[in-house]
Amino acid sequence: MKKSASWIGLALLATLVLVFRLQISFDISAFFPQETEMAHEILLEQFRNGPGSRILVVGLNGADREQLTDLSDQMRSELAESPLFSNVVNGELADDMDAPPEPVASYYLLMRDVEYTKAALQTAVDARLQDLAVGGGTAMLALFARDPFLVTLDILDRLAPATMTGEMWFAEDGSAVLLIETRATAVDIAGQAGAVSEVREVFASLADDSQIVLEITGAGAFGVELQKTIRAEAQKRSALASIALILVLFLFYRSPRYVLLASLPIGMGFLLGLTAVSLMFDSVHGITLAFGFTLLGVAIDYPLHLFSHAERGAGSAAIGRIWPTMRLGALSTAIAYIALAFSGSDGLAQLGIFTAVGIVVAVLVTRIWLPQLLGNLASPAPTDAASKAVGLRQLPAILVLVLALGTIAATTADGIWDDRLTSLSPVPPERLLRDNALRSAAGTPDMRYQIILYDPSLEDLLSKSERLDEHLRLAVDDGLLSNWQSVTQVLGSVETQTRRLAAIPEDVLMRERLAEVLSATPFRADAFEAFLTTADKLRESGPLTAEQIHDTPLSSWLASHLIRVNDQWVAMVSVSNPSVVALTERIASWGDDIMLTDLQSSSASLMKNYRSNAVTTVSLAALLIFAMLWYQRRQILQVIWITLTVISVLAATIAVVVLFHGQLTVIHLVALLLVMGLGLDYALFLSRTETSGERGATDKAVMACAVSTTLAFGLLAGSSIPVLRFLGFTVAAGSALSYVIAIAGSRLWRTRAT
Amino acid sequence: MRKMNNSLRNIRVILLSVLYMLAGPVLSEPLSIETVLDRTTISPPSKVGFREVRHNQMLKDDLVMTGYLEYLEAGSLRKVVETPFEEAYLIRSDRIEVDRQGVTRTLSLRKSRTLRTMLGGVEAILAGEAEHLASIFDYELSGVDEDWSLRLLPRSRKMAKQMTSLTVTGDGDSITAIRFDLKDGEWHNMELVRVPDSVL
Repeated sequence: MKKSASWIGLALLATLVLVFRLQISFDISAFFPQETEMAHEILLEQFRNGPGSRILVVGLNGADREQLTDLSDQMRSELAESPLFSNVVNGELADDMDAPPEPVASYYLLMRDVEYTKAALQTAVDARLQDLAVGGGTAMLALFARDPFLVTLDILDRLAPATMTGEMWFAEDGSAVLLIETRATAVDIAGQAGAVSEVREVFASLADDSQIVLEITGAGAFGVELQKTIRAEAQKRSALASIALILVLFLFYRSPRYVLLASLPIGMGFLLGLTAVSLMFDSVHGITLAFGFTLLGVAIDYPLHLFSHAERGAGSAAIGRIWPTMRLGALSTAIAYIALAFSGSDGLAQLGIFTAVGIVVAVLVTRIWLPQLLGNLASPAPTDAASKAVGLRQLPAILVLVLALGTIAATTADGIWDDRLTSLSPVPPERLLRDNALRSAAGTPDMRYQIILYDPSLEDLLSKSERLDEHLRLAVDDGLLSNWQSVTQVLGSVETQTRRLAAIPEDVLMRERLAEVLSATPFRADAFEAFLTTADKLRESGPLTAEQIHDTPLSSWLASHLIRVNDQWVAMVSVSNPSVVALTERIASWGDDIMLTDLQSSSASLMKNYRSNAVTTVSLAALLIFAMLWYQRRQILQVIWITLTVISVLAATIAVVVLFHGQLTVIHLVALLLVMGLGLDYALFLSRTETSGERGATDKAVMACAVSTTLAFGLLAGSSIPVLRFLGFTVAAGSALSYVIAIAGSRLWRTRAT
Repeated sequence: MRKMNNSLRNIRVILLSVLYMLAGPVLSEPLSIETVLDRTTISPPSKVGFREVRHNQMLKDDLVMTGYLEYLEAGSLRKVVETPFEEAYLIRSDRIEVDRQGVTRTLSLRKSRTLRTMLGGVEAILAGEAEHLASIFDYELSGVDEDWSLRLLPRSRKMAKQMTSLTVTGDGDSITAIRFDLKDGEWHNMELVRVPDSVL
């Protein structure tokens, strides 16, 4: 009772910590690698907050073009009025000439070089008079009055998230396309959920009962979907796995009390594992919860070993006999997961720590608490013969290993690893393809290629960016790209802004020039008073700063083009329709500190580093495990058999995985760690020196473990989240193979025991 | 330029309205919306001279323009301004070409909701669809055969934000003027002068 009270107290304490500390997050980028290299840091920041990351892409289909055109137009109008969005476009030009957003409205004269000579004013005023012959309306008049040069229109066109041709966007499959820029960042899932919900509500109110189908893609939408899917999957898969485990327990032990007792190590492991992660990290990722709980399912092995052996004696005596083997197995698995914590992403670190702590807690509960509770359940220990070493045979493992290596070699001509960053994405590939198809209809800047500039000084960075703008302008003329977006299109360097400010004539002089120009036109003398007022205010306010933009509608645009990484300011310049080879050659002549990043190849190199690190740390962990194994067994044949069995299990699992999934990802690596733990566990138990009676209990326990694990992870293999599907399939296959290979080498083909 | 395009679009409404209505035959039946609608048909080629006055708060003197409108073929209209400056607009399909001082700019004329509604109104007039027209505009028809006035008031709040009313007047034989009343006292009034067929 004293022990029970201690464990219950610990559980209550952990619960209390969780109540006050637990924060769940769904930031997909948590599972991206953590990097210290500048280029890779920038790359990851582009994924989190780069140009286009705040864009929700809306597709409308299922009706004729006329209906889709109407709905697209109506949705644009309605959504544009929502405070959740900073920009809503569908390719058509805006209907109303609303006042330009700040800081463009107040600072446009500092965003472009403008000439204020009498001749330039005359040209501008004449052009506006001719414009009045065509159009009209309050908004247009207000625009002319504020900006006779129409500089703001050019600025706003350059800020648009896509190519604004005036034609409504339609994808190749006939879907009407809208781009909606959210104020919330892509990783602000609550904000994105609100935005997605708003789009759905507006659609529902406008589409009525038509057959038109709405689809929403984009990083934010995927995050929202992921959150929902994880919740649903976690509930569904946990319930299914629990039912499967209960059935297996009943099948093997035929007692409801065993079921209850078996839940204690897992429950305590989950609780304390989660507490450890919540104490070590600001928030716990949803995937850690869904994924980790399933990984922890492997801890069911420990009570199963105990139950099987306790059938032949009291719980305390049974655990005494199997504890060295169980301890070695649990410790090895925990070490493998701790290694994962050092492999380079917050998400995987959480997963590693959660599982490692959970496994250690589960095995301790099995060692300390369960035997006490089990004591009265077990039947008396029968007298038995002396212990005997089991006859082990290396051949089955060697055969499997050769076959597996042959299969792997034959099926992985393109390399065994999939180093695309998207391979880590929990977003289904078909959704990503759809997103790409809709975006391409809108001619959004090519997300794959971006020009990166960085400097510790913001002013120096902006100066560099201005020089780059000049280069790019010429490159556009030469057809090397069609357009670009850079921070200096809004925020010039202080030097440039000061120069532009100095170019604005004194108020009296400007008024004189304008009055002279207007006197010969039908315009009123005060027609452009708003322009004069704007210029006057600029003389007082001075240059625009990055901080001033933070409180304006352009803050999200700025955040997508100017970021701070460590001690560096970084400008991300997006380019549209680049001629990659020619542009790369041209950029090389602009200086060493300007680089055109190819997101695809950079991310592949990033993933390669990430995976190499993971393989290295896991290999080191494997050496440690091998040392522990040698320290405990000290029998060369046993150690070789166990090692060979585990290696052949891993090779066979990899062969099966590449046959079904093509290549391996880091997720498969995580799963293979678990397979290694399982293979080791089965091999350790099936190679124990034990009595013939104990051998029966071991066989039963290992079979129960293999069946329960294969079943639970087999259920996970049916998940709609690719990451969980990879994990489930790999572990289910690995568990079954572990059992078959270990049994074949220890029971079916055993040699004479020595 | 993007916003300018919206303004340029408005001209199409005027042109369509003018040309479509201009060719209407003499009103001889009792004055009713149906009677007016029945007579609003046109077939290209047609040409009409105009004198347009534009009034707004930026101008101390109204902007007075003269020139002519051409209905070249189905879906193709041209407005040529001759004074006080020279400029030509060719409206074809959903695009508009602006020829200013020898430089031609092509702008998209994809319909905005407002413009579609306005054009829809004109088309409803042409097609004699009183019911459709009534769904877009409230209308007031006044006068007699020899001097009638059809005042169309946009029903949509969005469209009403831009335009107060569109008034078409006729003298029994033809359309004599089209007037757009916009917000803040702004108005455009286009008086039309029929050009003899021999000029075409």
